[in-house]
Amino acid sequence: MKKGYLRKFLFLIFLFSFFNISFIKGQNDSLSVEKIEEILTFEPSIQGLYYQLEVKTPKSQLGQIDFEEMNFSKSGDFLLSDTLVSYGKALEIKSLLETKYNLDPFLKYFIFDMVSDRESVNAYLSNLIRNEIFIPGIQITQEEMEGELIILGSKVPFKPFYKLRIKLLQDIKVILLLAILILFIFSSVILVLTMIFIKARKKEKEILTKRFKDLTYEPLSNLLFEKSLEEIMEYSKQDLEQFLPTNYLSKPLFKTVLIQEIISLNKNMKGDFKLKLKLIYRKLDLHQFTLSRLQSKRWDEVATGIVEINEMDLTEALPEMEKLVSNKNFYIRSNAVATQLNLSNDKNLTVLARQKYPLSSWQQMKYLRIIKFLSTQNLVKIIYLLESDNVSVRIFGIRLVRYLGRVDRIAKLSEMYPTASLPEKVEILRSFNALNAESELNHVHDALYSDQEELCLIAIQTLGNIGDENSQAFLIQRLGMIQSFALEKAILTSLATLNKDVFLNFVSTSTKASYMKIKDHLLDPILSNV
Amino acid sequence: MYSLLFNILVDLLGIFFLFYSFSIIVFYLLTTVLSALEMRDHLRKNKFADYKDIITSPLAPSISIIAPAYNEANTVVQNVKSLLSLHYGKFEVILVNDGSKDDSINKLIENFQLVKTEYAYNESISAKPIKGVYKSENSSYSKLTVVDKENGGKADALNVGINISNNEIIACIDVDCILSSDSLTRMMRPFMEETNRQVIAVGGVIGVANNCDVKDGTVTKYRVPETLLGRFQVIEYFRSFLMGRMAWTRVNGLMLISGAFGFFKRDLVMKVGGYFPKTVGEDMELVVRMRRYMEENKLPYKVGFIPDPLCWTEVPESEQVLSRQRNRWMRGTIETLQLHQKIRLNPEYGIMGMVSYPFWAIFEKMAPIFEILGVIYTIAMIITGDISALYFIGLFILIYFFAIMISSFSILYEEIAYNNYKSSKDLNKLIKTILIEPFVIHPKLMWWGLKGHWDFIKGKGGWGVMIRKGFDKATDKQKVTE
Repeated sequence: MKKGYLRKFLFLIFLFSFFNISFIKGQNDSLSVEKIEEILTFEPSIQGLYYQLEVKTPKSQLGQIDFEEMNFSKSGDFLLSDTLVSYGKALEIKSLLETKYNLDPFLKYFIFDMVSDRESVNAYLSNLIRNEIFIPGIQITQEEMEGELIILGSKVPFKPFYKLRIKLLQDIKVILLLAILILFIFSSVILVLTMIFIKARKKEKEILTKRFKDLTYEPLSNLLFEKSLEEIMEYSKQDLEQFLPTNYLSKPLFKTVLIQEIISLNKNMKGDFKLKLKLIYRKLDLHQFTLSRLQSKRWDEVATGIVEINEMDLTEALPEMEKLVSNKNFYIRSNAVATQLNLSNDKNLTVLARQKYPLSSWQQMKYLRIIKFLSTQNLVKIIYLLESDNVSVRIFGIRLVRYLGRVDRIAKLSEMYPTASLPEKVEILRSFNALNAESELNHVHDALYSDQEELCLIAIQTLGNIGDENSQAFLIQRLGMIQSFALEKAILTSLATLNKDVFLNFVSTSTKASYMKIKDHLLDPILSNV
Repeated sequence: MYSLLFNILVDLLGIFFLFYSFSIIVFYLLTTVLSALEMRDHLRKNKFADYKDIITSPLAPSISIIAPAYNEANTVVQNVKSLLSLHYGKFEVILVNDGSKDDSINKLIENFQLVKTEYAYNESISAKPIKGVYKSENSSYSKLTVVDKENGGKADALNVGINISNNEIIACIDVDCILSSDSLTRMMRPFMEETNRQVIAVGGVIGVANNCDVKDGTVTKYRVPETLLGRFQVIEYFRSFLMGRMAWTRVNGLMLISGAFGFFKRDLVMKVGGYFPKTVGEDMELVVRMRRYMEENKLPYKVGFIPDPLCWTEVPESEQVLSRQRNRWMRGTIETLQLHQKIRLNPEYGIMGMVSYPFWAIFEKMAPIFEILGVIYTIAMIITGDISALYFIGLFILIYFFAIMISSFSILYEEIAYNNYKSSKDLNKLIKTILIEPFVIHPKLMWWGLKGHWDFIKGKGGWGVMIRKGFDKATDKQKVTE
């Protein structure tokens, strides 16, 4: 509690330190009356301060004193001296009149044109000194004095001592502020304009796309459902154009929408309808438009072209695809390989085997779909993939053996296993497991004793599926060598799958808590059945 | 003497605030540009992604969805059903009942025909003890596992879920979040796409569900919230997700994945010891620790981000709840930065050490302090008469319009990329919100942030000494015990 108050107190001190400092500063700046008197006396002149002596003399003395010599002029009953700029001089004359002529002169103070009292003079001088407009001991020329700040209100118009332009250019903070403002305005204007432009363009494109979709729907339906394949074959480009709205085919966006609609229908239709769509596509020279996309500098345009080539079976574009299968852009490369696989009818899958870039899971997923389709027509040659220099291609090849159920390649996998990398070994074991490769137990047993937990785990799982009596012994032996709960659970699971009696016998003789826990888990009917 | 010190202090502070403002502006402008580039690329890439393939592909990674629940009895059954209906092939749902005081567990048992099992639970990551692991007798719910445990907080519950999980990817979500049916397929893309480096985590956008229509687990009609605080959070989420995180993703500097919707590589999470339950910023802390592990082991990696609207949540619309949330976020940030102070300006940690960490320290953690100092400075200057009207008005206008510009961009981003808020009335409301936000809401946020600092100093919620000392290595968390 006390600690809390102390922190609050310290915080308040910190907060008020700003005000305290300024207060002290203010005190330090006030001048004493004695100091002011001293400055006034010894300074030859102070900007804005003037003095005048006023004398009321008896008529008897008028002839005795040569007032004109002393620069006095008559004003009614009074004699007034010239305006004096030096306080010291004014005091000197005052003293002379008092001592020599026994007069009682009155010293009048002026701040600029205004008659003031001594108190105002003191305040005025204090202000000048505090604001460093007047520095005692330093004389300012007449020129410099022109345009001085008028502090206490004057009829002289305000003219700043420092010109704004000079001030702006000399102050680094103002320069920075201006730089930020300019940067900010410049950047924001560019960004806002860009965004507005993009949004407007996007909205316009959306409206046009929707309109074009509506415009293509009816002609395509008519051609597909009312015309036979033969009729369409006989049509020329001009004949087909008559089905479409006039002059629209020259617009790139209309062509794009039309192609998208044709592709979309092509995906959902079968037989003659597919042929009709491809014929319409070609007869309208849309394939030229697709091929021209490949020359674009935008990667997404090129990739769109490749997708269209793939969907519409433009086999004449295969040489172009050949150039793009090693493109550094992931999407161009992926789609080009997919197109090549789809259209080239290459059972050897050479386009994949020659891939220099690593294959991602995403690419593999895409290619697997195509290869599965190809393998329904022909037996694809996975061997080239398994012999590729690219490790990710080899891994994909091993996976293909599993996914396509290629039991004929088990021997090849077995041959690869001793020199394979860890990820390859893991995939090979998974393939042995999936294909029930009982002949490969030697490799699996080797892997069981691996230091690599991942490999060991796969080996255990594989043994649960294809293991023999020896495997049971190995599993029990391995169990004694490990501490990992995940491996213990995997081994006991595999053992229970291989031979329940051996498993029950083993766990009944063991007292290890983790084994008991795993045993209960494996024997739980809900966990084993659902 | 005092006068001289005061003048020096004033000048130094003046230069500092000017430089700070300038840096903020530069950073946000960069963020705007980088996020625009990233968004453009994302939208282009999306055109070539066939997400249907992932659902059935044997190559798609398996996912364990971990959803901690505390006193969620009213909604937990519906939320679990929604999770079980997600479109994906290989996934499991692990609901962790974190010692709820209501009847959450009974409702779950009743509705999903759950039975307590003899599940062999192994505490790879230390956590509070579990009371039971439940599975359903009904094979329709075979993907569901419910874990009942003693209360230990969200991070502790997530750690239990990680221990139970069996799949390659773990998805940590808030059970009350609404997930789009294709959320899993879309979030998997970065994990599957990368070729040269490992994607260790992927974050997603959290949308504001207040006042929206929801059908079949997806927001069908977007409306901005009724309250000013709700609307402010819509804009804030745009700024944070569509701009901030997209920009950080562009430079692979993302340090925060929202705890309500984050996907992580399980093996790496296990290696670094799971969530650190002694911090309130467990989501950010885990990402930083995972990144540290990769940097310390010189492994190429990436933290991904998907800006598609896939997850929605109800945001707090009362000041009391929002202030607690912001206080917690601030403490979480401070604690994470404190725990990982070793990476500060350390070139060994790449962009995270040299850019992300300093950014978070200066512009997130210290922002409330610097802002309040700025206000005090300005008041002090007004009192002493040393303020220049030119600076004051110039900077004020600059910062105000800059704030409006950034918020406007975030709305424009959303409009261009997804255009969910179609009604012009909604847009008008959002624009009004951004005009008053700097005066009405921002000061409150700063105040709540300051209170977060104060609570951290007092040692509220965290694990004082450990946090102040920090982790020397990414794997040090495993040495931490209760």
